[in-house]
Amino acid sequence: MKVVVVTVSRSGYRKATEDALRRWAAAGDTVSVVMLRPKDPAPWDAASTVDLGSPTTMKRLGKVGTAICRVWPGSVNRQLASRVRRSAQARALLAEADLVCGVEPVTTRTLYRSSRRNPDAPHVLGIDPALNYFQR
Amino acid sequence: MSRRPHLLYVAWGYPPCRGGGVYRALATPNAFAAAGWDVTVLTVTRETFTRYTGADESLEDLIDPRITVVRTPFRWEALETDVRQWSWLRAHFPRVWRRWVKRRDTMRDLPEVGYSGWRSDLEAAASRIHAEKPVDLTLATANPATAWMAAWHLHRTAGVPYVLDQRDGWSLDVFSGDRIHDRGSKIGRWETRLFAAAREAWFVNEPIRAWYAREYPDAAARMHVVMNGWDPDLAPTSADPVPSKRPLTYGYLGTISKKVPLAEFVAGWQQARRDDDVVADAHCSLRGYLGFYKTPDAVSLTLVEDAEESGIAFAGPVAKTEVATVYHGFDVLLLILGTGLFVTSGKVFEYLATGLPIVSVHDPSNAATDVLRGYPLWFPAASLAADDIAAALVAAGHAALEADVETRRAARDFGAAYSRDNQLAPRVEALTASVAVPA
Repeated sequence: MKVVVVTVSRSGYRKATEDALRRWAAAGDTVSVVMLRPKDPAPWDAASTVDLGSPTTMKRLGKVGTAICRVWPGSVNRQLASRVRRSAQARALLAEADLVCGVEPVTTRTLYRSSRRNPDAPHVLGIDPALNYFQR
Repeated sequence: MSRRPHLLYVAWGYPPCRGGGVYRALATPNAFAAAGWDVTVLTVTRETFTRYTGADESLEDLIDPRITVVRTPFRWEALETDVRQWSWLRAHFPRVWRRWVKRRDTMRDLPEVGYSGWRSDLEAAASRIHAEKPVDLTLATANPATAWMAAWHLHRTAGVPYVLDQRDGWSLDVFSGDRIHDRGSKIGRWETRLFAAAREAWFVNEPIRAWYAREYPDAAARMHVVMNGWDPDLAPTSADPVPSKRPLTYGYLGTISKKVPLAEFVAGWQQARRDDDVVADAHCSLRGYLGFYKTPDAVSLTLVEDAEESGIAFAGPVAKTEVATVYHGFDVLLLILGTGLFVTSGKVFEYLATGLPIVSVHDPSNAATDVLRGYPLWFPAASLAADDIAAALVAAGHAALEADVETRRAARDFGAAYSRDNQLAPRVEALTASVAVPA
């Protein structure tokens, strides 16, 4: 089974994601990671990784930028979706996936778009639900 | 010759549901079946639990084989994780979508967010069941209160009497004691209507019954306490209980919701380990679920993981059929409950069945206190302060090692009165006598 994990690399999700990658790999699945990169990226133990770069944030503009981010919080969600759309490698992986897992809640737009192109594959939000999906 | 009476039992949380209320929902129709009723259980599809909340499939083996189970579809939109099922609005503007769902559900005739969409399927299924085999009594258990709509529907359309079983409080916040829905609100009006026409209303403890009796005095005479109780698979053996040996195992079994004072307990446990050698070399095993859903609650999980060095371990859920074995491995039981005058919890009865020392880590005003008062091996923490919890843990540890046989026997005998059969039998008998069955 080809599993594609989509993540924006939030540190709180790192451990659970690593555990999941190990479990999928141990079960003989091929796991790929499509990610927005954190500041200090650590490599994922996956068959392939598509690095879509770091998200741009208005927080670098100081207090004003942080305030704008607060009232316009969907920014990372949109950036991930648009970068996936521009990346042929990411699109190809998602098109061939048998299971797509969005790690953080802000991966929903990407998952939604991918699910419209590849409706046969489950597009599951959350590591645990994705791990358990085929036990349903 | 008259036919056997036919009970329609309506419950959302029925096996393989693994929620706390499922044991009552399992036992009640079983008790009616054993009393000679034909019983049909109306509930939701198995998938509801296997997909969203986690399931305990071993519970299905405990359903009386004479019972017919009818399952209706239930869609739990908020917990759907497969994005293929999502709308464009949800995927792109999740907060807007959540607000819209809440608004939509609160605008319905029965405003119960997340559950009110179940009502139409439920009522249709109740009508079908009644058409195929006339129902003589409907017994519906809440939460969710949407389950009561099947009872109301059959009463309104076919005059079928009904019993409302309330495990919690619909208008009553069992933790704060406040009324959460005004009498004039939609829910307040529904509650008035439902209690006015009910044959009986059941509550899990006296404080909740008394509150409802005050609020609805016209129905007070028909309101009864049907406490939870321990189930037969937990029945103690006839052998005399024996003292424990060090190192002791303190155990908790149940759902650890956000209301459970876990942080306070951890602080008390760490204090007790510093204060006393018996607790210092003891282990603490937390079994059950962290939160109500399949995925553990992150805050509770972090708290438990951080406490690993002090001998606390979270060992995950237990199948109902394994419960007796798990209790057998404990020396002292931890009753850690959320604060509330109206909170009893079902596990207090399971704990009583064991005859083991019980440490209460909850507000002394909890309804559970009334159940435990007089239990010879009860060690309530005077408050949720670390020192008080530690003192109770130490005292219970020593009792586990040193209590004499008479005390242990007295503890077990005290618990024997709280079997679930004993709680249900008077109501089953009364309803069997009062329900008229046409020939």
